Amino acid sequence: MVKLSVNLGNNLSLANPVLTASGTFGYGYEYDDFFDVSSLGGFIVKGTTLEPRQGNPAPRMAETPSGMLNAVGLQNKGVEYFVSNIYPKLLKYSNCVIVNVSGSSVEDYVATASRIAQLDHVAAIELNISCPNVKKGGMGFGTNPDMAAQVVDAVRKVYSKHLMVKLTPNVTDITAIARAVESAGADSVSLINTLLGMAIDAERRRPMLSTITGGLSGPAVKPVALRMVWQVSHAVKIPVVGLGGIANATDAVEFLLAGASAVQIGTANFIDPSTPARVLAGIEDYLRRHNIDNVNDLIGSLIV
Amino acid sequence: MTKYRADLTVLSSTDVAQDFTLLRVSTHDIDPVIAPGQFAELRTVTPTGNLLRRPISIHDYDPKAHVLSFLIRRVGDATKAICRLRPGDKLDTVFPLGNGFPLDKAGNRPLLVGGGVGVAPLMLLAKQLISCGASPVCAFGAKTESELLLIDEFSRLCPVHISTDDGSKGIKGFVSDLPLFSPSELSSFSSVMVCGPTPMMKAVNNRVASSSIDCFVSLETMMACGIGVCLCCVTDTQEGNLRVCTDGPVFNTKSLKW
Repeated sequence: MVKLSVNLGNNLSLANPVLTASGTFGYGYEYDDFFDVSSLGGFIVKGTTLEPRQGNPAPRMAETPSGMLNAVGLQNKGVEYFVSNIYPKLLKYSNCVIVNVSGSSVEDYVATASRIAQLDHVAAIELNISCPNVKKGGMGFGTNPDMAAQVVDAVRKVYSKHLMVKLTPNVTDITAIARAVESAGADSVSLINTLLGMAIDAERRRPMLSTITGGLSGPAVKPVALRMVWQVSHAVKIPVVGLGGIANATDAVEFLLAGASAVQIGTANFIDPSTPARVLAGIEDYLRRHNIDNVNDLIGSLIV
Repeated sequence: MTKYRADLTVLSSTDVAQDFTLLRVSTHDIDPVIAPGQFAELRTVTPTGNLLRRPISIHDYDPKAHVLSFLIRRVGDATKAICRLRPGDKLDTVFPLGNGFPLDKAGNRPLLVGGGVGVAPLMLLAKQLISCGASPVCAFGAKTESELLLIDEFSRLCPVHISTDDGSKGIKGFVSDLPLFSPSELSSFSSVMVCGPTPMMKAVNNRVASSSIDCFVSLETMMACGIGVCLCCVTDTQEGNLRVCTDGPVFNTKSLKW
């Protein structure tokens, strides 16, 4: 029997290291027809803000080589709607439900986190200080170590459960941001959010996205994500959750080898909605083939 | 309605016009409940390695024979690769998706309006309306005669009125120029259900807007997931940005900001 459970600290123990990335998995139930969502270590629901947000105008998406750009802009109905209408539907899941929280100001983040703190069935918050698609806040907090620490510190004061902080790759040195949020009290870091990119329709001489630039995800970003997970896992003591272009179990194992204690499946959910289940089965198969009986022995075990 | 992801076996791939293919696949032992106007997300390996699925209208479905049909316009690498599949090949399919045309709001004499490949979902719609006792009438427009698709098949089901931009078949002009849309003729219809290019659907809606008849349109946008999670395919409505994939693709035009 292979042991798959991983502990991310501060009472966040996952039955296995497979999570799904915020904004690619809705609220979980959209995937009920495709596989048993509770079989995953957990799932991270769509970015939630204090007030409802309409997001950006269409077009919000462009397909690019081995990837896609999006410019959704955190469209959601706000935390009160989440609490009243969506949270009750999440009680049926037996695994870890994690809520991604975003905001335009420190006060926004604190107010939203305080509300989420009242929900027993939410195991953790993933603090999104890395959305590239909003004008105010978002990535602004995640590109400056002092501002990143400030928002994490403020949320830490009102949220005692596990606090995961999602980092942006759009920085010169991601380890500086990781260390700053670790010092401010983050229990774990997840990386990477999307890479800022752009696509152009040459025939029409126009940008493909309404916002001109957007966030790049999918297999195209995997090497960048792996590099950053490797760097951050050597720079901080808190667990690292790796994401960026994971489409199969081999990709996931690469992240675990690089130092991630868990992984998130993102864009691949759009292409094959059963990807997380396939990745989980494939990790188990990999461990058996390599005679490893505990997934924790794989984490950070890259031979260099 | 349960959604499935399955590798369906291609039964036939037939070019019905230049750039248009009728693809028939077997749903094997799956018994999906399919409403006319729903779509599927299709994917196959392409030479350029396209990542995303392509949302394609369900053209027809025969539940007894387990045969699902798509009428596909070959536009880019992905749709071309899908249409190159041969009998026996597998087609990676997520289906059925979205909300179809509201049969309960169609009434006794619905007018089905198709532009170009937009006739695709109207086949299953016409069949189901007829089986419910309604008497649909079709109005189809295309750039030119060679892009009028499956007219004979539709004509076997119900009356078909035709327009072409160049006058090569039917009246010369847009489908919204057909005499059917004059106020006196339009009043004989119980509803209008449209699928086609957005400018054509807007033109039809403009003709219908002055009447009390409901006009339902099937929107086409770029999509990623098709199941309501990525929020990439939104359209601006009276209720704010709604997802074309799961809130639509069929909308009453009164709810759209047109």
